[in-house]
Amino acid sequence: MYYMEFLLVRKILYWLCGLLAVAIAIVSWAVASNAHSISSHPHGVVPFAALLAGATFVSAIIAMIFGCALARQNAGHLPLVWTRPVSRDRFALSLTIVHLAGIAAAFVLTLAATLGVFAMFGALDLITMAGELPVTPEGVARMLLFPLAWYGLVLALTSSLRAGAGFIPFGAWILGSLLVALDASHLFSGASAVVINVIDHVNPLYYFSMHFDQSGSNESMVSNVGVAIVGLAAIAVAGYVAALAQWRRLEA
Amino acid sequence: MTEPIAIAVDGLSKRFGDVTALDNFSIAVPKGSIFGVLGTNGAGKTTAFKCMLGLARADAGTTLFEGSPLTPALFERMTYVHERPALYSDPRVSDHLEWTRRTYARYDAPRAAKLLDLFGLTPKKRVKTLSKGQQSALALTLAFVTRPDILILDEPASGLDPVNQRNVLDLLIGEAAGGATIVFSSHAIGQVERAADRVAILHRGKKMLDGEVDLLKADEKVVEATFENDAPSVNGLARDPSVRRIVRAGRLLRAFVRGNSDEVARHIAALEPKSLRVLDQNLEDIFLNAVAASDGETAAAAADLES
Amino acid sequence: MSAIFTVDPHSGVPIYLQLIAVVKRSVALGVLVPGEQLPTVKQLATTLTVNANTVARSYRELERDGVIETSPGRGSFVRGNGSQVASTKAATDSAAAAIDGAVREAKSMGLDRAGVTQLVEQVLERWYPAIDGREAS
Repeated sequence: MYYMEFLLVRKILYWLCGLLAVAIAIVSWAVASNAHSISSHPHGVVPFAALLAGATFVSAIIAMIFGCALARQNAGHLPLVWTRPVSRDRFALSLTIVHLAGIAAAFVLTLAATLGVFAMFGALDLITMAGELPVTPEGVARMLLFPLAWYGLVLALTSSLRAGAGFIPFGAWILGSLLVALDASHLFSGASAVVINVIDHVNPLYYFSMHFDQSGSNESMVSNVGVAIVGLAAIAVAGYVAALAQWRRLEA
Repeated sequence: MTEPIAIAVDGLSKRFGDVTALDNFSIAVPKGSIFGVLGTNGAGKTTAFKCMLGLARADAGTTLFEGSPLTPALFERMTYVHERPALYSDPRVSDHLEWTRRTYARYDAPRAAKLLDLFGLTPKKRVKTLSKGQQSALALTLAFVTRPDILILDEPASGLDPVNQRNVLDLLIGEAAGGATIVFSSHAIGQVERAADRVAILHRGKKMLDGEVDLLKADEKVVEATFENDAPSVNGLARDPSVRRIVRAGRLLRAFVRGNSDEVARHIAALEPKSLRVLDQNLEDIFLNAVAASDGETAAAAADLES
Repeated sequence: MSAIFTVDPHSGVPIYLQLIAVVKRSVALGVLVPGEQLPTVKQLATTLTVNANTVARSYRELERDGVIETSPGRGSFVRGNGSQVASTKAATDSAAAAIDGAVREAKSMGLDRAGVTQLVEQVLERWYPAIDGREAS
């Protein structure tokens, strides 16, 4: 059922590989032209968590592109797609299977590319798991859920659209950043501040922001990550459910 | 003589805001037959199909396939081809075929090859590089290649060149002869005339006529009389249930009759016309009459005399 | 074989009636001989690009009229006995209908009986020309 979507996901991943290759080339050239910095370098200054965050960021972008999948079907393909021997829900689920695999692949590819650059210059020991930004299981979980939250959110926002869905990921990211900034800036007070904060809870970027990490005391930082995990997972699931509910009721 | 009914549509209605796209549409399609739905653009043919197949929600009415409501599993044996090809643009012809092969157990690979050959489709070409006619041909290929029991086709031959139009009709006729049930819509009367067992005429969302093509042609006649002076009004003619429409223009009188044309001819002959003849009606005549009867007398009379 | 069967799907005359007329005429003229096999319903339908049930209907009526007989599994064949008579009668019937229509048309054009008779004589002369005083058939 998902063969066509598989072809598209594969194409997008090829593009990603191409972009990563270009990025590697640029970075390598930059590093090579600063040859003196390679020979002696301090150990463990680069937190692994940062590399993970980079891979998360890229796979979130990919996830948002995949999140427009239902809108893509709506652009003239419904007479074909809704006359298959499976229900609409099952069809959407079959697409999601490929998407999840694609998001995972994007994550792995980006991480591998990043590590690859370090390895190319024999600088793997620059990386550390501990230090100021330790790698914790909860932290990793939060990172893995971030793309999924975006996936669910974009799906929910686009599953009823027939055209112009491409702007949603773009706009959502900008809006999300704006919201976080507004929330953290304390520009507003009273009821407006509360409203902004509430809306911000549906914004995946919120759960990654400094503002979030620093809300509450230092001891509750761990539980903050726990809340982030729950929040992101909730966005992912609720978004998905909302997307399917809309798609079920759509008319070709 | 009751044949099993493959598709029973009952009272389907659909409005879009103020516009009634479909009004109480009902047809019964016998198994193994070809049912043609004839109508002008905007008559409601596509709306009818979408409501039947669950692509759109009808405001009222039901559709039963072999006695049961529609379920996804039925699409193992039933295919639908939209009037505009719903194919994906970037993938290739072969990708669409592969997708179909993986989805359907009944996929017939030799048939696929034959159909590609028939329509002149190259497997490697991307759909966006195909002409509109070729895309339609591909959509039809994907429909036929799974050997469906039921085929629902919206304007199947539109956009195709005359040779492929004939090929498509031959395919439909062959499938139905092999037991498949086919419903297709068209505004090309000639196609329905050739291929269909039964025809329903849709106009402005309403069904104007429903019957077997052979019998409609045998029954529908025009009794035409010319008089010395202006055509008189014929007493009792309008009350005859077999008289569907009467057109009077100067010395010419035309009575459109369903069945009973001899009786009506005798009735008119009693008025001693200068000439009297009974004319056959082909499907185009029947269609135009049905539409005109619904659109009103004056417009019809003018159009009538032009042809 | 299939060249014998032509129909006009766009005529006001139903296709099945046209097919019946074609077969009866062919049998009457000897174009189709007793024992000759007709195409199957499906073959004829796809050759002519017309509905198969229409063809089946005409075959059924031809069988009812005693012109052809159908054995399941073997096909449809022109009947030996009686088919000729049935077809000839059908040929006569259709000719009678045509002549009736022609005379009615002539009358509606204003010709009187003498005028019509004269016309008929002229037409007969054309189609059955008298040779050396003898009428040819």
